[in-house]
Amino acid sequence: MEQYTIMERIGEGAHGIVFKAKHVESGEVVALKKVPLRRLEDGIPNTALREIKALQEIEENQHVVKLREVFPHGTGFVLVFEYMLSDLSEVLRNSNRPLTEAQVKSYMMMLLKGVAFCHENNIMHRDLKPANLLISETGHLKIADFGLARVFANEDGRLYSHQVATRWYRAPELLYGARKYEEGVDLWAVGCIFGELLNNSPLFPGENDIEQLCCVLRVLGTPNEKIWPGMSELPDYNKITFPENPPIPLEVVVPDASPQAIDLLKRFLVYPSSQRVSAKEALLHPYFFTEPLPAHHSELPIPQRSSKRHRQRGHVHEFDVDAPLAQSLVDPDLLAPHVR
Amino acid sequence: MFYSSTQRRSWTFSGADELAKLRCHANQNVRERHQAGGRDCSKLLTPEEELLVCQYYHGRLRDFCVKFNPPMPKSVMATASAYFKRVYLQNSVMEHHPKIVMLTCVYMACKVEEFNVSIMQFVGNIRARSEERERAVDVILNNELQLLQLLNFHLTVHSPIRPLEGFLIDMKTRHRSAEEVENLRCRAEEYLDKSFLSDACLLFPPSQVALAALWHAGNSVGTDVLSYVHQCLSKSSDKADQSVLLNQIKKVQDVVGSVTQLDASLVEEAKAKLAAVGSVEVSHDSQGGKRKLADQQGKQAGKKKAKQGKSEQGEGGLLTLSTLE
Repeated sequence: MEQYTIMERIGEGAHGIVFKAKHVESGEVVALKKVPLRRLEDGIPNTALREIKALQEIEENQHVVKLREVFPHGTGFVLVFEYMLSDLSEVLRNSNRPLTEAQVKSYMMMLLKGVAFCHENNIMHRDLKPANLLISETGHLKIADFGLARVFANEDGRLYSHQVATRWYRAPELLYGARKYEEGVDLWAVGCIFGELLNNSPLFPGENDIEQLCCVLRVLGTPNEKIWPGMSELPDYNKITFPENPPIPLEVVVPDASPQAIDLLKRFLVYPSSQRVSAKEALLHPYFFTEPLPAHHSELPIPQRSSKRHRQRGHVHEFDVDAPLAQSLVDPDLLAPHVR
Repeated sequence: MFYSSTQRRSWTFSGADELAKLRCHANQNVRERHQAGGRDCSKLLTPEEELLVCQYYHGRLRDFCVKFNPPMPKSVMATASAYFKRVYLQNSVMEHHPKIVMLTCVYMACKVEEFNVSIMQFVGNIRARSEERERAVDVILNNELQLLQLLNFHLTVHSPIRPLEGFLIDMKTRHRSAEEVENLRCRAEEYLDKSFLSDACLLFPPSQVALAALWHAGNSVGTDVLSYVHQCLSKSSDKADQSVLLNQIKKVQDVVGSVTQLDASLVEEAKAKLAAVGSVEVSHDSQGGKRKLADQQGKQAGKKKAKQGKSEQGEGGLLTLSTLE
């Protein structure tokens, strides 16, 4: 811990407080996630072990937050990550002008690259949401918070918990209590995030689990065994019935989106998990290859975590293309008194 | 993916010599510290004795896993075994008592392999009186973090279980009839069980261990595995290429074959020695660790101390747990 000086508190993660800190030796700025181990009944929580496990094995990828090291501290341990300026939920909240189509494409492309990488490495994230998609100071998007991630290399059909994923991004099979599921749960979440980027508001903002299901059903229509084979076998299928309800075309739900965007969105938001388009395939969708093309990362908005002081002293590293050149130069007059 | 894993990067070694060197080094460290403290080194365990103690407790680990209720998947045993091996590669049994490490390894492996049991359920498998189980709870939970540290926070273990399954499926689809292949399964799995006790997990990629298991099963059942290796696995018909693979299987067999019945009297001797020295060294060491902890946690020191007192008692208690001997 002596290797780092803590600069400020950034926020609170799924488990533990996150600090911004500086590595004394190299001067690099990092994020420290302190995981305290209160004497929990069963010891170190699985979520913490899963995060370490997933991040230790995953190779370096541009779109996954990098774990630099882990070390014990006091009665718990500290995860050291590269420092990230902000997250996608803040981008959505702060953008006074709506995101352009090129910007949305750029975010989607980075998200899909990250998800494809995780899935290739047999890791399902299980809690994708805008707040877990961090934005670097160069505008890059990286997936973070692997506290719920699971390595899905299991052949013996063991059951998973269905209490995963933040509600708004939770796939319908999870809402019906499924205990066996696949990467599809991440792809549903990607669809929800996509819709949110296009609309600038969450697609299915359910207040509770029942209402969440209502929200989904209202848009996608009441599912039946024909369009969703196997649904009647889901644990909670018999617990609740909904009135017959035709689907609302996505064109109506996301009115401003281009036809290509709608087509891609449709491929994520389908009931049967196996029919959702994989992240790798989605990257080949014409949406990403038609004008306007995905924006360069320097053209993406970079919101500030601590919004007060940032804009005043613009910093060259922030890649603000609109900032006047003069801001990144040093006024010779200021230097003059110090030059002998 | 094994190729990019921490197992390959940090926990796969070049050969038996390197392992022996690391183990000697761990032993040497304890000796040096002992000497620096002006104490008599003649009573310390030799590296050979340490190895014997480790092998003994590894056997205990396996028995504990096999008898575990509810029955645990093999992968938990494989992972716990690998953890145990990794710990005593760079640490001495005189620093961390294998009885405690063994239980903590299995408990950690349960979590990592997503075999969900509560701590109470876990210690329920220790055949002991209930107050001793209570103490075991404390000991295990107090040592979890230290185990993580000893493992360098590398938790994923690639065991040969899945590769073996893969080979069996591959053989069924490309080479031989399903029944013939299924006949191999039982022997091959037995072989893997044996391999967990050996150093194989520190020396070879899991797929090679699985292949050696298949080979062994073929030999004992009388099924030709060699032709499968030649026809389906070798990239080319190049003789040199094939002999490299066969050579590697031979190496695995040597390592796994070296697991033998332990000489009970020698084990008893080494254990007695550990009980005499070990306890000194263990308590000395854990004192140091605790002091440091207390310093860091200055503010909560009072509260902490009470807990530590309890855990110390716990360790002592477990060391006398006769049922675990």
